[in-house]
Amino acid sequence: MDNRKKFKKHAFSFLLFLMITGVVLVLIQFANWLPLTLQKETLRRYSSLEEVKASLPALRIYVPTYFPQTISWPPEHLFAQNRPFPWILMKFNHRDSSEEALIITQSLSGRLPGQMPGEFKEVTEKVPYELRGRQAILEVGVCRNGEQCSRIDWREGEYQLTVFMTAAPFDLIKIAESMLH
Amino acid sequence: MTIPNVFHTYLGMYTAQSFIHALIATIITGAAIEAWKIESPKVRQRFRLSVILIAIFSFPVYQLINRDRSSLFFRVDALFDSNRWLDMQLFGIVPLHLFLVLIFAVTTFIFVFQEMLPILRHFIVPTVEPQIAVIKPGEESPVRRALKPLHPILPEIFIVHDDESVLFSTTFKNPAIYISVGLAKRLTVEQLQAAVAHEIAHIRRSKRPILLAGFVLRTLMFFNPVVLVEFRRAIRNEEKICDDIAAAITGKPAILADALKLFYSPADEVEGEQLAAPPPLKVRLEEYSHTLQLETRIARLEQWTGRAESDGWLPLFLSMGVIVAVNYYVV
Repeated sequence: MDNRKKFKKHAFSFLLFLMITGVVLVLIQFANWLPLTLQKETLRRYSSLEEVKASLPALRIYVPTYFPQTISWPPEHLFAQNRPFPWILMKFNHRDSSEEALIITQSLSGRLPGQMPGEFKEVTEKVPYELRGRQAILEVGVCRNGEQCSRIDWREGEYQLTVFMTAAPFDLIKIAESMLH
Repeated sequence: MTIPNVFHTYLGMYTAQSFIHALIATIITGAAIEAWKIESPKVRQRFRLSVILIAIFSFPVYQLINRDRSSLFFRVDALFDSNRWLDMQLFGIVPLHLFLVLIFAVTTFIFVFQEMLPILRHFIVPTVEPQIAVIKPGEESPVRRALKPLHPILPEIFIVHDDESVLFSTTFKNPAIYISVGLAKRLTVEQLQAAVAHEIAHIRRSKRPILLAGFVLRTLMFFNPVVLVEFRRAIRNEEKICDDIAAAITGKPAILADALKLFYSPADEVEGEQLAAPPPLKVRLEEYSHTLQLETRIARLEQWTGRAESDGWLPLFLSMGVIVAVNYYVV
């Protein structure tokens, strides 16, 4: 077989391979989209709290009324689901940078749909804290990027609420208190 | 009440992703095999074993590269998030992740009963029954004389006093070939040479025990149905590789094909044997699979050209590149 023929054969094989790979990619994307259509209340990204309320009316959402000036509104990321269990996550960034500032999650009995953002590298202090009559746990420590972090967890009815902030706990407590009307 | 999804844990994510990654790898390597019309069993076997490697190592390697790959933010924007399916509930009651658990359980059952137990039995029960005599043929025995052209490459030969058609080899430290009297009587001299050349090929290949390494790795994926299928395909490829080596040694592939025909008899060719009742479905399926495999091997040998095929590294590397890139976004 001369070189020209060989090259043609290889080029054809390459194109055929790319075509089949393309079809496989489309099928994978389709398989990823299908559950969202089959089950409306499954985990997905939302653009606003209003959209969450409209799509998942059964989900009770706790939103802070106090919001520090340094944090931008609306949330950068907003995920929610009502199946297999109710859960919501709101992630807010700093106003001046796109860095993570505040993460609020609420879940049924503390169940989580996956690995959560807002991890401590090291917890330096963990104390019980009374939050408007609720027994909360307040943690202070260092984030993965070396910044100071704080987190507060408490139970509100059937929900477990968590507020995580890349800052000292002063604003964190104010935010948490403002979520309880 | 909802049953907690075990696939949210690291171990669960590993098992689920090893399955999906292997599935995608199988489809893409299959595409490469079709696109480049790869016929060489050696190259095909490389593809099969790569799928097993992908299944074992992809998840830990991806996690090392990016530990946030399992985070919710990554999953939501991924090409495919397995938890979307696994968190779903059939009719609002039955969680779909239970089906994956069931698939893994069935695969584990098949692995234990079809692969592990036969291997253990092989170590406990001798391959040749103790009451059957095994002798080393003398220099002037008919079998030795028939195998004379193979003498320079011939390992130890043993004759098994059994009327059944038996031919097998032991590999590694003490390589030897065992031929039954029944088989030696049924085969012509040339067929016997071809059949023994096939066993010599197995012994030669055992010096680079790639398949053994594949089996050790494959046992780690005992639950993974894709790995189960791919490893069995790799074993079938091994038989074809040894057929090619045997054909190259004797230069007579058609004779090896004739010898193989003695090891199977299609249902419509069974002569004089009337069974009281049909064998169980499992036995029939196994026989069908065995016959089908032998038929494929015979057909290959009958069309054997001896032409060296390309080594297939380009399609392999290309498909591995695509698989690694795609699977990174499949969580």
